[in-house]
Amino acid sequence: MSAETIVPTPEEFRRAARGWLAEVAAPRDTSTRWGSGSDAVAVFENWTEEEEHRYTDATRDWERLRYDSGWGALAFDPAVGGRSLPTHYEYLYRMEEADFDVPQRTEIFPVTCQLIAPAIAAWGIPEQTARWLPKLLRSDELTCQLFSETEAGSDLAAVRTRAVRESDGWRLDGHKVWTSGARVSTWGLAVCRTDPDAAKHAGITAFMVRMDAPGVTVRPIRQMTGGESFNEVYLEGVHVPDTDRLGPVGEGWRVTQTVLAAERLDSGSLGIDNALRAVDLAGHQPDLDAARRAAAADLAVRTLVQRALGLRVMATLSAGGQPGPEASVGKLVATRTLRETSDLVADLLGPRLVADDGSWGSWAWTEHVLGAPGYSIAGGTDEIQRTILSERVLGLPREPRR
Amino acid sequence: MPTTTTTGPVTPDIAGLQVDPGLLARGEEQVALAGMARDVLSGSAGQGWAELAALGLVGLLIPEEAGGSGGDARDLAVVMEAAGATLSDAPLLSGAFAVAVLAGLPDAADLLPGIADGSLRATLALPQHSSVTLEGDRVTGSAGPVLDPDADLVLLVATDTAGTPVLVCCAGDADGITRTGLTVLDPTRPLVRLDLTDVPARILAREADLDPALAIGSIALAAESVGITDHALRETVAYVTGRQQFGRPIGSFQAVKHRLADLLVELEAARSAVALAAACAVGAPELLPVTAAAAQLTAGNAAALAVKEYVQLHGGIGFTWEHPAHRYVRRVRASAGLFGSAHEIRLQIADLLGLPGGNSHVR
Repeated sequence: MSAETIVPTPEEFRRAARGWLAEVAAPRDTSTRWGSGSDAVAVFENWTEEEEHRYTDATRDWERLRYDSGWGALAFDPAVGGRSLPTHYEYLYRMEEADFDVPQRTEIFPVTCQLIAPAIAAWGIPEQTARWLPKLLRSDELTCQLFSETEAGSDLAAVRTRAVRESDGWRLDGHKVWTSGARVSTWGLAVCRTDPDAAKHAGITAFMVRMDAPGVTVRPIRQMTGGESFNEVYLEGVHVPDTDRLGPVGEGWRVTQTVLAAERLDSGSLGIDNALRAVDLAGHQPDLDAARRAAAADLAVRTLVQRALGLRVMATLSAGGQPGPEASVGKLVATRTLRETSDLVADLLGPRLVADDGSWGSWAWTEHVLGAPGYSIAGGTDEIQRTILSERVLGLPREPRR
Repeated sequence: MPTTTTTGPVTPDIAGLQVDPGLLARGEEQVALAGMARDVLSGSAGQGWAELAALGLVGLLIPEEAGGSGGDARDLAVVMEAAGATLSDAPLLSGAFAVAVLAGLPDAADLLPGIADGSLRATLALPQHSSVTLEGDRVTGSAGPVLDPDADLVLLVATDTAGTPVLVCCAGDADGITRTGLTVLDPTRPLVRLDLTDVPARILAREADLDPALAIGSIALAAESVGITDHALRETVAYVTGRQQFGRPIGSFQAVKHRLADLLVELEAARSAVALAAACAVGAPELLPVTAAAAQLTAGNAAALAVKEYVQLHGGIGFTWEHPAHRYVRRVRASAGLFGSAHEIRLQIADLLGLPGGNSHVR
């Protein structure tokens, strides 16, 4: 038949998704009572390389089943295994999936499917989209972001990793940091300087680099939680064929902007689950004084507001519009939720956060408290987010640039 | 101190929030309503109540068969946002409280057409600000501050001889009522004190549950705060873009632009909270009380920050009488004083969520 697809109504779609999920997954066990079951609240994973591989493989099995059954890659073209459904159908699907016991995606899965795959769809030539997208969207080949460097964080356009033309491709030399999922990724999307003489934002080009290529070395970085969920990546004389260049030479800055815009949109629901758990923790105290009742109520309100922001984004997308300021503010709202969650639980737990007394749902919060600051830095610092909001949404004059 | 396992999760179930996203979006009709309300309310001062009523801005929540617009809380929020942005002195907020109370009462149906056409202007004496007793069909006591000193009809909660709260109404100019105009912080919202002695009253409902109506009122107030925040942000952005110091627009300084970015975050949070509460009023009534209080809190906080930055980022001119900023400062301070401070609303939400430690004041 023709490539014309009929878009189901949201209700039809959700019903069908639920039907499929009921066939392949068990309902989430909602009988777990406060005080039993997992009390994990880590916001950055804390695991060994072996654990990271094991967990990633389990999630990958689920993502493959989903893709093969026509419930992955919903917004993508049928040619790469998608259904050309509107963007927000992915969220509709997730609302249904939340009721089932399926592996929770770790960061590298949304990075691959929600951040990098759309950038490949937008910037790749047909040969590249055909070669990469089915494997990425099926999670066969995960892809990390090789963006930040020690001297190029918030000022990403200052990247110094060099890509120099050689024979049939490019030779890459440089040092990337803060790379989540580098140990389990097949590819890394690297932002490199190809023209040192061009203006800062002009001389940049993006490449898909095989993480097993000779000259690529991955070293975990131990973060303040004590765990290792991101890495530094050394690129030393790495050969990249020109067919693995994403987007035109000198257009790498715009490629990264595609990725970063998706990252801002994707971060809006961050922290809600833990905030609700912290409110529950308050609800399970024998007694609360007025200040703590007020603080818990405040956090409960934040979870409502954050979800309301998400619902507005979804409503805009479903009406065929582009999300406005309500999407851009999501990350700042989320990082504040994370901080206020830390403050509330620290106040409620007192000594139980200082020394592990073995009680359920107490010491586990150290992972949240020590992990939360990371999100005010990762994916564009809070300060950069404010600059973006003030310049791009409010239209305020730009900082003088040198 | 071990955690107990005896109490259940917080109620109502805010974790299980499920609302149709479409209820949070503004449809074409609401966009048109917003434009119309803004045009009318920003017009020259003194637009008549009858004119507002004729345009459908008074009877939004009144069914069409009673002469109203047959709208819902979402329409009310649209109009109140325009009222806040323009700092209208029309008593739309007190009217909204009164209509929200009356619209749910079968026995008050005869009052609705007059309210909808503007011939009967009603206000609600907030229960927390009144102390009135009912004997037979007469009320005695005092109420105030009450919004809209010139209202034709005053709704009151009076306590009968058995101690039951009873919703009554009486004519604003009834025999036995003394109305004392008050000197007020916010001149755009005049207030009155009512002293009542043996005033004839009509009984509307015994043991009436006003909470849903008060929640609608909270949404109206919160929407007004969104309008104020939006106005203050727009005006301030325009000012700092044009104002030059040190040879550049002050809006190019990060110290200034980051403050305005934070205000934008608060504005969008407030908009979202109001949209959620209005959506719950339509599609998830069990969550109406908590989401309405959440809207009042979030929008009140946004407006408090907005007027602070409105003055500060205008520098000296923002502190003058001639600049409108202080009128917005007055409105925001007055609203918090009348309808509850942030701390009070947080404690109210804690009660609604069933958090431990309620009903005890000093620890």
